[in-house]
Amino acid sequence: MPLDHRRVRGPEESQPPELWAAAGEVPVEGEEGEDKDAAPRDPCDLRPLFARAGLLSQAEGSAYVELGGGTKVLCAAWGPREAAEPGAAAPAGTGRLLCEFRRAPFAGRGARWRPGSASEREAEREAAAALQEALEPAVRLARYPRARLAVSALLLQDGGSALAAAISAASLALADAGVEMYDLAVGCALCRSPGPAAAWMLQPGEPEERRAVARLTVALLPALNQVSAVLGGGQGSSPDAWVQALRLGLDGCHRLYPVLRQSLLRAARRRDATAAAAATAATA
Amino acid sequence: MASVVLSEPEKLYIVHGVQEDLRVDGRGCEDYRCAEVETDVVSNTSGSARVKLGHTDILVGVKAEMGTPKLEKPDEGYLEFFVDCSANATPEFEGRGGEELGTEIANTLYRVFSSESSVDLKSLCINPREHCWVLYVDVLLLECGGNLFDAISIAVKAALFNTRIPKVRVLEDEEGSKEIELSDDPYDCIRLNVDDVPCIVTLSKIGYRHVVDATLQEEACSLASLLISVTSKGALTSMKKVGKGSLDPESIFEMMETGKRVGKSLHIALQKILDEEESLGTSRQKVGFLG
Amino acid sequence: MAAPELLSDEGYRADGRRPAELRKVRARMGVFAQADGSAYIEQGNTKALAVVYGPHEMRGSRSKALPDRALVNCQYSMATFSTGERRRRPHGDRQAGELALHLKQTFEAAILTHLYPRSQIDIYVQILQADGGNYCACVNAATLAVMDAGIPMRDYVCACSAGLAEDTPLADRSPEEAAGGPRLVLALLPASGQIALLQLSARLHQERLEAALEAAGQACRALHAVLDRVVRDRLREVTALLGD
Repeated sequence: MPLDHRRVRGPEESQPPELWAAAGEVPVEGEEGEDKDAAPRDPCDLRPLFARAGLLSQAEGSAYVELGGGTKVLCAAWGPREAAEPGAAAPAGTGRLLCEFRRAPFAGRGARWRPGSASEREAEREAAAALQEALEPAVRLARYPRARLAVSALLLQDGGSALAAAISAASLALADAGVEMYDLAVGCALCRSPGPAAAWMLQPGEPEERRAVARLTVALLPALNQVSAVLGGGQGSSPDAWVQALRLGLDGCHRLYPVLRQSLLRAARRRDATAAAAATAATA
Repeated sequence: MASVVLSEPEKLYIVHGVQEDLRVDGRGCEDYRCAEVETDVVSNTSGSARVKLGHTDILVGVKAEMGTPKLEKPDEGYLEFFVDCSANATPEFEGRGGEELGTEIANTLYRVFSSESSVDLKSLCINPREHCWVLYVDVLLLECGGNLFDAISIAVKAALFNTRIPKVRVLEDEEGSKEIELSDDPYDCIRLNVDDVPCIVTLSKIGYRHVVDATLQEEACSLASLLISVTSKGALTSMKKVGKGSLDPESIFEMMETGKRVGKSLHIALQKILDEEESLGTSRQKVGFLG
Repeated sequence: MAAPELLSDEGYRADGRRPAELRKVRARMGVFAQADGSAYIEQGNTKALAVVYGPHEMRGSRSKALPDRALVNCQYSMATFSTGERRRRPHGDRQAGELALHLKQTFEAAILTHLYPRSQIDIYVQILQADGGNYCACVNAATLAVMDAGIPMRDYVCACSAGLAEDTPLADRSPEEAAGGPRLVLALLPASGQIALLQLSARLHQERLEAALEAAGQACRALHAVLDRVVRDRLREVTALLGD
């Protein structure tokens, strides 16, 4: 038998080391001391949210949303374009909203995601579909017949509640692009830790989300008081518990709304100022 | 998805009917269509079921194959879902046309079964870290006449109920190498406990009310639906809004309440049929597609 | 030869059939309401479904439309759970593409396509349970489905496979008999005796071809009788419904 010298011959059977590590000891929680703030955390606590609209010059509208836990999402939106294939999919008389969701290869912690793998693409596509479902009720698609609008969300860092942040950022970007909308869609995530008496927590961080037995993402159009997305699952509990979670989440959306509005106003003012400066420079 | 085109007056007729709690086919808002359930229709699977709900026709086959447990759960087997929207249902699904809907449904099923208690995965483990049973749940969509999700979840539950996994024994010799021995007796098998397997109830908002088990025509009138999965004990394991529209928070709460009620009775009815079929045993006349 | 005995000394096959005997055939037309035509067939343990849509306007690009006849479009898929080992995908592999092409050729020969210029007829077949003779079951199911759709045909298309045990031809081969040996698939228009498709795999002596072909032809004619009865029964059923 010809021997392949270039190849190092390993044992025939091998197991990944994680297996033994996970089984051996009780997992040490929160290497960065996260468990300290996990226990006494107020379930109604919202993470600080930073939002800025209109920061990319190439896109017609853009927004950046960052959550306290480290979640960073960048969104860009493009206004009405002529649809490539007329009459496809969307019923006549309304426009189409195309959503894209991408995770940066460095978004996750450790090697949890192999970039470009089938499972990752699958997850991205699912998130994109969820994004589309959350945004469609907010956009006045009937005003853009035979046209398509595009939103692209890039998750730079996943620190939990990524989809919720992406929904907020995408609706900000659409509004920044000057697309006619009924309202901003504000996303908020919740999760429930294991344990019989565990309560739902707003905007979980990544370690909390990983441990959680049930997760929920809601999106609200606060001015109209309409829910545009509900997506969640996990361990079964009575409908009343889910109702409570929903209420908590919707309340969170209401509290996030002013922040997003402020950032939108600030972006508009900034744009006006630069336009005015350009005008004075031209006349001078 | 197969879609129907309705004129405005047709839509108005349906919406007004729903308002009066009288739907086009004579049902009330919380009534299901007549469902036909038959298990054990494909003999080379571990378990199979066919469900016909109105014009919606679903065939589910479960195959148990040996695999390696997942890293995070070394002492559990797992379920894999695959949904094939075949061109049988509508020509739009030809080639890769049905893939999008198929993955959407499969993802929903993964979410519905994400609860740890739905199926006892520990019983699927043969040999921790090395061998476990992988249940491939393959859904074949043969005809779609509205309310796919509910019909699929009913069929999945029926097929899991019907699933028989051969018993295996792990033999260990002196050198510590393990050998797996399959039981010779085909009747010597494990059954799954499906008591906690949830069913999906889709509630479609039509006008100011919501209906369960919408037909294609009714789906065309509905802008948004809420999909919830309920166990036989009335616990919710997942929820999802589908459709272009948005929903009022209050109506979501109402829908959840209805969903729980309807889901519970759905489970009872399904279990009754399954038990009846089970009690007939081999004497049962198999109908399949010939009936 | 170490090959298993295909025929016992008394002249019976492993599953108890005589050499020219078919497996049990059961069929039903009009399984689905939404399709234009549909049929289901069981041949032994092989179960197949066929659905026909059309004739309708060309879907997709209109450039494929044929000016003088209808385009027959086929898809062959096998359910992921249909075989002993789970399949990873239902269609899209090379074998499915080849069989779809064969199906298309078979039905282009049988359907009066010149009656429907610039239109399209879709035939979708699905194997629910595979136990030998998949292609034949598909052709037979598709024939019934096309009839159910009311599309005029020259004749029934009946398909059957045949093999050889030494020099005795065996009709409708079961999967156990499929291991090794020549295999012949014949799709026949029984009334005119015309051949719509003939496929031969593995080596076969020229002198034995005639015998195998004859056996397959016989089997096709027998199938024709069964299918004809199904169609007549269905017709009676439908007209009875209309009469009331």
